Amino acid sequence: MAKTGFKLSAARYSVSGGDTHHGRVISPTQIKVTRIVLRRDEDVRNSQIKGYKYLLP
Amino acid sequence: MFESFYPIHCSGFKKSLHVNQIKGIWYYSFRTENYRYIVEVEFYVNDFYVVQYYTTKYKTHPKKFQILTNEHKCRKIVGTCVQIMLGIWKKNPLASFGFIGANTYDPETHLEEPVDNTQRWKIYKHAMEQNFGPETFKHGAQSNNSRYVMLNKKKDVIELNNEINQLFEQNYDKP
Repeated sequence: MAKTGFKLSAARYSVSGGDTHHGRVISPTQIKVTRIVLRRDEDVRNSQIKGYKYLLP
Repeated sequence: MFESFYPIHCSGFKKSLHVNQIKGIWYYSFRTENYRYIVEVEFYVNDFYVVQYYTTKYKTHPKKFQILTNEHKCRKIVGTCVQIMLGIWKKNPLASFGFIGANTYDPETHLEEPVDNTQRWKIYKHAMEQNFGPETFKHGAQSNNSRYVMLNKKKDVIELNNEINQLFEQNYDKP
């Protein structure tokens, strides 16, 4: 545990694999997704503007 | 937001010679104030449809899907495509849909937008989120090739997603 009280995340990006450039850890936004990722229904529902009605539920 | 649409005319169906992968293409057309548009709906196996459109002004242009007309009728044009998709789903309730948000190309300056996270993809994704809910479709996205799918929940969506990933890689990958 750090002094600031923040719990350090257990997730670590590899610095030895293919997801690095010259040994630097890359940010999650720079990781290329090579496949279509299925979205959670909740996320899709939350993306809809409030009060708008679906053509298909 | 995408409620308004232009009157749609179905121009016909062209059967494919490679029926084991693509069954054929449905052609639709509509007319805006200044241009006529063609909507091609590619019909693949597994009841998967890919929607794409272009204006007849650039019909023979190799980048016809990428050119903007600057007509500022985006919402109504996308709304028309949404109505076409709805019509297809009514005819085939097992239908799943997909598209790629093409990267914009300016024929005057020859400048091209990067293929990742394109402006078209953001607009189309928004249109899908507003009109097609998660009870009927499982939504899927890939921002770094600007791909979007809506998989019919009456089917095995995991298996269908694997097949569609392969299909996109075979047919739509940009170098």
